Amino acid sequence: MSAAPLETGPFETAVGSVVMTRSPATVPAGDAGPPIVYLHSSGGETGADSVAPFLELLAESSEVYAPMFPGFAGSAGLEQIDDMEDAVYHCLDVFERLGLTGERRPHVVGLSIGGWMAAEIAWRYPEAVRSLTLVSAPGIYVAGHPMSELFGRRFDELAEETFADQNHPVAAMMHQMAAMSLAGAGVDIPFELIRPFFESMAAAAKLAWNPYFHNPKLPRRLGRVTAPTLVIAGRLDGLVPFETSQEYARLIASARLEIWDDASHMIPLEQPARLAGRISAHVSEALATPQADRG
Amino acid sequence: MRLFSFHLMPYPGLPPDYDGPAWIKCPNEFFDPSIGTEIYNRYLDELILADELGFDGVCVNEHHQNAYGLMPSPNLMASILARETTNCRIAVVGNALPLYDPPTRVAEEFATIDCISGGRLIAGMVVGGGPEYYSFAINPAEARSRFAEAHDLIIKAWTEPGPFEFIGKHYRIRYVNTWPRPVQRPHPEIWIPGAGSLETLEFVAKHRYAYMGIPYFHISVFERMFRLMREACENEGYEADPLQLGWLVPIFVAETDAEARERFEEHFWYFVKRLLPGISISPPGYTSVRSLENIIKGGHTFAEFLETWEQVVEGQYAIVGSPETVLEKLTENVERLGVGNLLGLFQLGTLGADDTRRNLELFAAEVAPTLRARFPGTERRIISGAVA
Repeated sequence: MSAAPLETGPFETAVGSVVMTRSPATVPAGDAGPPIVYLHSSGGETGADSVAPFLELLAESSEVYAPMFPGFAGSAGLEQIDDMEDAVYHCLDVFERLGLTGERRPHVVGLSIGGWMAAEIAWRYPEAVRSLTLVSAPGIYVAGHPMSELFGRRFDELAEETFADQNHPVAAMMHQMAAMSLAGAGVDIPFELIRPFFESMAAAAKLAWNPYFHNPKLPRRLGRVTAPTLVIAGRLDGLVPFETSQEYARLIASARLEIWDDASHMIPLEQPARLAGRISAHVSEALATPQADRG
Repeated sequence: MRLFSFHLMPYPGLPPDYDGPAWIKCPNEFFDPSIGTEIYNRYLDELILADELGFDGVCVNEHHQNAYGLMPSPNLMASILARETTNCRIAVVGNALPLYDPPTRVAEEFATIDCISGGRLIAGMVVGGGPEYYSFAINPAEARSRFAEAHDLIIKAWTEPGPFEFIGKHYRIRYVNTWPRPVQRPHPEIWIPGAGSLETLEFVAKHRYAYMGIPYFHISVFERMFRLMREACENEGYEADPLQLGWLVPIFVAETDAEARERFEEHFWYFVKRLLPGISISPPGYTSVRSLENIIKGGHTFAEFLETWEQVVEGQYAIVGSPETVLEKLTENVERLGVGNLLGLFQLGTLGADDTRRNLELFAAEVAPTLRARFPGTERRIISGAVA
């Protein structure tokens, strides 16, 4: 199996040029293993070094495709996307242009809002998804366990809600940025440091401002999902309560639920090896199981 | 120049031990309706007094779910003022268009106020403050686009015969046929308040409206903002009219400089330290990337960060002193900024009824006449394309 370094570059879609990190295009289709599409979170981690170890581990047994959503890190086309439905069709367009249809339909992995997006694809077009892995996904409103505020929060507060280890390099950087902005008068955060965060939040708001990170109709749609589904959440997640994942697992017939006691929200960054291992096992298991046919 | 008395209608009764934001999450249990009855009537009296004292206009504005300004519907205040004042313009600065759905409501209410007042309305239109998007659940990523479309719809409702069909991205109305129509033809003067967003400056310049610099920043930030506004007008092929520019500033006049500071300072600090916290939250998508960089440059001069009275004086955050001092400072800054509209906040924070009345009277008697003589001209030279 391939462990060649991933490539990052522009990829043409219906809404314009999208930046994608992917397995080398020189490897013949199928040789690298089954195709996995990774849909990133509102943090846009796909464009950062921080998620590279996780994607590289996945690529040891799979073809990996990690597109940056429009509005994130140079991907174009945000003006053509108003809501989650537009996002779903954008993803389907990307799958088709990558040849990831039919026998080569992808295993879709999504973190946070990317997980919600994956679920929205999987109920609309069950035949487009070979397997589904939802990590720290919002998308369902669970009474008594609402998602915390993402928009307009201080970086240090967000770090505390989304990282189990505050010394993780990304969490530490968020604490530093908060310290700079709290210093107030005379100290401005370098614009280039906050620009990616600023842009990614604007893109996320299009999909998730109101209703806030959920689709009220999703619970009654999830019964349509046929892909073998793995739902993973961290018990320490302060942003998206793990109870949301419990709901996903309850509503998707095939789902298997794992709540990790020592994990928070940004699991691909904090536990790349364990998560990549679980996803690879799930993908193998799915391939050994015939998918219920609704297409 | 034209002189306006602007009222925020602040809530003066936040508990002394409360140090949280005045916006979005400021608990509404702090609002005492008996205080509400008193201050709404008092604040309206203060605006009516400004009319009696010969101000060119009075200003009200729109904010929601906060202690900073108690006018969720400035149109309610403006309709009272339309009856209770006789000469002054009534500037609603403004209606936050994206919060009205459908925005033909704004066309109707503004036209109603214009009718009741006999054509004295100044119609302000605003994107709405950052906190409003949290309080109203309207998607801030659509704020600019909704604002632009709502504006087009309102102007069309006022200027084109109805009924007509409007098909936009955000609003689709089969029968637009606004009753009443405004007295001022083809429509009232339009003001757009802003905090330095480049899109807003360009929008105002393009439509030949007036731009009101609303925020509480160091005078150098206003200087820059109005320079950018003049440049935006030049890019549209004309020279900005000073009456297209307005400067909002707290003003307090007393017999002497020492007395003025003595009577005013604590109320100013209540305003900046108790009522401003939370106002500057910028929800996602609300500001464009290019404007963000522009706004960040002045961010650290925001009044909330002030610590000493010397900083207040140096940055011209408030113009406070004897009539002579206030006159000279206003003259200097009006020249420096090149503005033709002065929007004075004569009541601020916890400033009481007697001090506010005295402030207005002293300003009208001892500052306004000379200021008017120094900056003559009250008729707009540049008017919006629809009017011309």
